[in-house]
Amino acid sequence: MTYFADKHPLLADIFSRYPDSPQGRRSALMPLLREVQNAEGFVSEARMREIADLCGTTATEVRSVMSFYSTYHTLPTGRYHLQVCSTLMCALAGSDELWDHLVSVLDVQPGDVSADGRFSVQKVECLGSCGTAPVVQLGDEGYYENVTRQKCDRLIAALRQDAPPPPDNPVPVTVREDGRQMTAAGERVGASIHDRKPLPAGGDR
Amino acid sequence: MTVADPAPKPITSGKDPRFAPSLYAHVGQPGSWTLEYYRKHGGYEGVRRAFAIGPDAVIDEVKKSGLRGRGGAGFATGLKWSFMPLNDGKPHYVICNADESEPGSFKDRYLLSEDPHQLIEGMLIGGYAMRASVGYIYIRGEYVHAAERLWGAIEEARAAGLLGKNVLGSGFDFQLYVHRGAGAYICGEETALMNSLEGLRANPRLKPPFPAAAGLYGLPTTINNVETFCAATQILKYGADWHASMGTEKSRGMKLFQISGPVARPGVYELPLGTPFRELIDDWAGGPLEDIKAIIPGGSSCPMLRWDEATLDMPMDYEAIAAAGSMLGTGGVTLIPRSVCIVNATWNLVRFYAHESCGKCTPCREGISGWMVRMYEKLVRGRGVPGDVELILDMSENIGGRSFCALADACLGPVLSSIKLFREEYDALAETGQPLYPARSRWRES
Amino acid sequence: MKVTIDGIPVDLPAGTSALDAVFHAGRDVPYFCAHPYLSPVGACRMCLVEAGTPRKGKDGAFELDEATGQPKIFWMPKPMASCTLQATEGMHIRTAKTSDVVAKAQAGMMEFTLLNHPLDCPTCDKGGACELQDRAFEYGYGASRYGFDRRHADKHYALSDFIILDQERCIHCKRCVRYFEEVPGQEVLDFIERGGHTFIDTEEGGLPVGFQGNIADICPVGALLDNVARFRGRNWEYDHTPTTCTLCPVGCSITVDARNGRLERVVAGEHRDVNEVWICDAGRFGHVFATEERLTVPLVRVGGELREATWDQAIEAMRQGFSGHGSNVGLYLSADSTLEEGAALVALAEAVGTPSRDHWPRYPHTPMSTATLTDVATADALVVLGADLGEEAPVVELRILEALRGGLLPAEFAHGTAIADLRLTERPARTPEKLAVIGRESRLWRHAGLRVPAEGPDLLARLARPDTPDLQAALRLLEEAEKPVLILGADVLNGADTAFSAALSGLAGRVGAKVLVIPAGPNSRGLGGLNLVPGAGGLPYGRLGEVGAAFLSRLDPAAQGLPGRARGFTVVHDTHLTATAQGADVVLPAVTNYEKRGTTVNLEGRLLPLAQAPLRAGEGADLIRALVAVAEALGVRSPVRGLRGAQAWLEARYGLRLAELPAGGRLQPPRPPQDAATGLAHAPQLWKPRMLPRPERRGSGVPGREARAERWELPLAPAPQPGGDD
Ligand SMILES: Cc1cc2nc3c(=O)[nH]c(=O)nc-3n(C[C@H](O)[C@H](O)[C@H](O)COP(=O)(O)O)c2cc1C
Ligand code: SF4
Ligand code: SF4
Ligand code: SF4
Ligand code: FES
Ligand code: FES
Repeated sequence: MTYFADKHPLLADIFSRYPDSPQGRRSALMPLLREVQNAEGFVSEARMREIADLCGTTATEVRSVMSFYSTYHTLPTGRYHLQVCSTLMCALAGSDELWDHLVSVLDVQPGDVSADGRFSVQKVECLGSCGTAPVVQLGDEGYYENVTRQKCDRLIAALRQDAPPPPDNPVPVTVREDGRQMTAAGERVGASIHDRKPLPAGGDR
Repeated sequence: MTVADPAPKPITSGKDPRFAPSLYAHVGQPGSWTLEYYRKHGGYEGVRRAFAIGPDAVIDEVKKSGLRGRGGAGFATGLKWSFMPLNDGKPHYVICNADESEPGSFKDRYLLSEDPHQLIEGMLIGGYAMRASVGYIYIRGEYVHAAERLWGAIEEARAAGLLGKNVLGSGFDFQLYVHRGAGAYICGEETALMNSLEGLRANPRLKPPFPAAAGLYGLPTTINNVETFCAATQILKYGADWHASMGTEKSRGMKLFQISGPVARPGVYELPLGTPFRELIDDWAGGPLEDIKAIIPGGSSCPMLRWDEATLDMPMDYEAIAAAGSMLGTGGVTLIPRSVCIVNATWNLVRFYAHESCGKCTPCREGISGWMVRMYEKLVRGRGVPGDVELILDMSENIGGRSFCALADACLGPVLSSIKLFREEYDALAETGQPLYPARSRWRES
Repeated sequence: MKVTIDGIPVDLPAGTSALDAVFHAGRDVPYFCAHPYLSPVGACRMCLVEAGTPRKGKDGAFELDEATGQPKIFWMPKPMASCTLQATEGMHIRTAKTSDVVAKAQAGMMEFTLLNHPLDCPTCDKGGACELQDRAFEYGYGASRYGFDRRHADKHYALSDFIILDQERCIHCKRCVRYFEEVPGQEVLDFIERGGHTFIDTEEGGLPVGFQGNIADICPVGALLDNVARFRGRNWEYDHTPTTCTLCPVGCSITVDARNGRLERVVAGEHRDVNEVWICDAGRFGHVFATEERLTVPLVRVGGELREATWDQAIEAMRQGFSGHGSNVGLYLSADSTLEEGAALVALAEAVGTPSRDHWPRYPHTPMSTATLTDVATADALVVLGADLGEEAPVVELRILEALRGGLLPAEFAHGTAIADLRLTERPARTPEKLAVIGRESRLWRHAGLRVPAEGPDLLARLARPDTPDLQAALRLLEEAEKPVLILGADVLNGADTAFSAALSGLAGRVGAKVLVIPAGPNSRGLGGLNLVPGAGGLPYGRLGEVGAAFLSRLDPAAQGLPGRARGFTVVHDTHLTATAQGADVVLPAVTNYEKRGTTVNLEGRLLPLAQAPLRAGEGADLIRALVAVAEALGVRSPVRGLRGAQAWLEARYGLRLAELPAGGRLQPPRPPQDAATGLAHAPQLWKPRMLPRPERRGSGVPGREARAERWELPLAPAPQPGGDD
């Protein structure tokens, strides 16, 4: 059976985001790939063809687009696909060692899946989390940030128990509830926008 | 205005009692992403004012504010908005560039996840001013959490009549959709982004035609960064004069600076443009944790600057950083410690660009993705030979300014600056095969 | 618009690219991704030039250079890709000839381009005709400083029976991808992966047959090669003969490449008014019959068996065979024969006094075309009625698609067709609503805004007085357009008569449409006008079985399921021992149209020249010479005894001057074909069985079709890894 055969509301929702034209139809390509991958872990050739038909294009185009991006997979990954940021800001926080540690502890190489089917690993580029480096992304789920060696081991242990901890989302900012920013010395300085009145709508001209 | 008004002293310090963070005023507060919270703090007042003054006045207001694009290039936002054709009878689009993939940049992420309504409001303002009735937020695929918050916020806004037909009774219709990327830095380039959104390979497109003439689906389109749209919200809310009172003459307003590398408090700080680098690094980021030799002032594409008094005294604004030989870029500052081999660090970034090259044009595909990255690998692995650095320089000359888009040039930022500043480290590797600064453990235990 | 290139001033129309400006001025710039009939994309970055423009001051006048008093030129800080740069008034351009910066930039770019290119030239089919090889010699450094292993990839990847891809040689110019997308409108080939890993592939299990072969012509390197011609010869060993394809009535320009008397390859020629630079796959790959299993000597039936004979023996056998039949002899020829051959046959028929003469295929009545192919390509509405263009006239399909993407005919310069036409864009907007197809389902359907399934000869009448909303819409399309064209094919023409023609002109006049009629045979438009149809009391080809004796030139009725013989003596003139030839009394060896000089008439009524490629044909003779032998056997003297005589005859009788026909031919519609019943319906079929190439048989080293079908299940090379390429 095709993947989208019984998912008409989902399809309708995706297509409704784009213009009702051949070009607009084609825009659904990435969202459809994402749907399939999140459900099946990868996108098979049969699914590529199915998506091509839905988007009014060919399997060649689907494969071409899909292969352009680094987060679509054509082969199954492990249940926990761990993506380690390896770009400079994370490297300055030890991501190279983190990677080596993961690969040796999990006994899996990039491109492979561990024997128990649980783990696969991939080096990825800057995840926009350089302020909370190093960072590991779990599948399409979320990030684990400030991953120290101990945190890394805890994470692996939890995943081995099939109990992935919820993703972190630390927010590295120092604006306080009163709207003022705090310096490194712990002083609240400057003003607060709370004390500023928005201009009245239409009243200033 | 009378001539005699003594110009007030510009606000160029985050500690200035007149300066209040606005973009990040709510980032980090519990529930800040909900409509209820946003409304309680004056949310959607900016767009109300926009509706009251009319679309042309909105563009004037943005022009007057001095706002420049916060995505990296620093192009005047009001001017860009005014390029959109008027009354051409075609549908127009506004797109928010939330692809944030430039290494060292992580400011948009928290705007998206912590204050999504601020962005929605900014896009409503932009859409209204530019006569667009559809907006897309192109968010990088990895920002799952932020995308979920955005979806939630858009749902809330739709239910509250802030999106859809006749927004707030203004007669203006606006639909807003989120499109998730899937892992490609080049999607941040505006024309590649449009291709990606159209379900094509994300190769950059030829310019001209510029997006304002023929962008998404061949229709007039304007793309702005997340921070740019959010700043527009604040400008409409508090006025162009308020915005223009911050910063320096050509760099007006506030900016989100991001600090990474070995500092006490890495993170995002909202400061007026023109804030001295020293204040940023010491007063805000808490100072370096080790001996630093260089900084990248605005994201990985910006040439490195030497860590010295001149750099510490440098005002963080477009002009001063350009004068120092680099760029403000996204405002993502990275500190490079003395103990790190600069060739190795640069290799890391070259590898990034090699990995992210879209492959369309020869100098980038072959020069960077094929050759440059191998030269660096060879050097770092201790297999370099004298002459390699000259070869890298000559190769760079053949790449620089010859590529189709700016990605290849971006790679040359770190390459050329690191060779210029730390030639001795390169030479040592090329001649002896040994780095002056051997790798050492940087991973924290706990 | 005045532009100065290396100090040479030229005058150019607005919109010209800097690249065309350079060539127009007689200068040179290397380029790989630009192509005259494709959108410029600026990908290869070879075509760099320095460019500068004058600037207008506040007063609207050009700022002047103080020293010279001339407008001051503000040079752009970096070299620019000239293929995507529009030349503007007063622009100055420097090429490598006058700029060291450009010379260095191009040498550097050449080094990058060659980085991963294998050193294959000695074994590459493109060698000697390779844009990369030539340009590397002219613009390169000479040596590469790249000290690493080159990229390794599949070097023998069959994309289809016809096209083989060497992924290592690809320089990523994207011409092939753009071609499929922009010209035949098929998304069947594209880049996979990105950056340095990018390679070309298809996911369709093979490229579709139709127009795929053109990618072998446009690939600037030897990455995409003609598999039928693979390893058959080096470019400098071939004899190149520019001529006209006569497999269908379009009459595309082609170049026939022969070596050691064998036809090894057909490549497209450029004809701006006919096929631009594209030909169909039949025209390109369907030539193997010209070389394989040719009949090279006459055969005479002796004791029930065909035995090899000399021409003299064959003439003697014909003399005996024809005797007693008097003028009851039928003379029939294939409708791809030249006008000159037709003239020879008519002249002989008149000398013999036989009314039984005919050519096949033809329609009993053929209405006249008033549209040219350029009219088709620039039409603002097109209705295709009862035609399967893929079988009848493939390149017409491409010209229709050209109209649907805006009908932008490339400009022409001193150096020829514009190389970088800035009006062409990638993924062009298309207007399917301009096209209505009425008839049986065909390949063109996919592109049509309006599709009306229908068949039968009354389609024209139904279109003129529409009885369904769809037909009404089609008629409205014609009525509302400024430059509509109506295209008619076999399904309606089989039943055409004079009333049909009248109705057609009535409709065309009413809606202001031009008409393109696709004749039944490649030259039936021309031959029909020579009175080459049965006269009073004569028998048409379809009644061959009723004539006393017959001569058939390159016709194979037995294979059509018709009687393969006359009642009595039957002579067959053909290139192969066809089913009909096997049943004949005398068989004369013929030559193919690749080995002839002469003239053909295409569907527009354009006279187009055929040239003679040096193929080994044994004692094969063209029809003119064969008929001289027949005349001798019949004891008459034909007034046409050679090409020159045939042309003189044509000039004397019809005022056709063919001797000095220019290479591109001449649009000069000859007399309309005479009407005559055929007794047969024409079922167009482009690919005849003997045209099908079997590459595996030709020793190209490519695995057979079955073996390849298996690997198409898994076309993923190199093997993909989860999450990309780390
Ligand atoms: C290779 C490349 C990557 C880019 N990435 C981003 C990005 O991630 N986010 C962004 O806002 N702009 C990015 N840009 C800049 C955009 O092309 C564009 O200038 C910007 O979105 C305009 O918005 P602004 O005027 O608000 O700055 C990138 C540009 C290039 C050349
Ligand atoms: S410089 Fe060229 S190859 Fe690199 S990303 Fe831009 S267009 Fe693609
Ligand atoms: S296969 Fe040939 S035509 Fe296609 S991209 Fe490669 S070099 Fe260009
Ligand atoms: S379209 Fe007709 S004339 Fe042209 S190449 Fe094909 S068969 Fe020959
Ligand atoms: S470098 Fe790792 S998140 Fe930015
Ligand atoms: S960039 Fe390829 S020809 Fe101009």
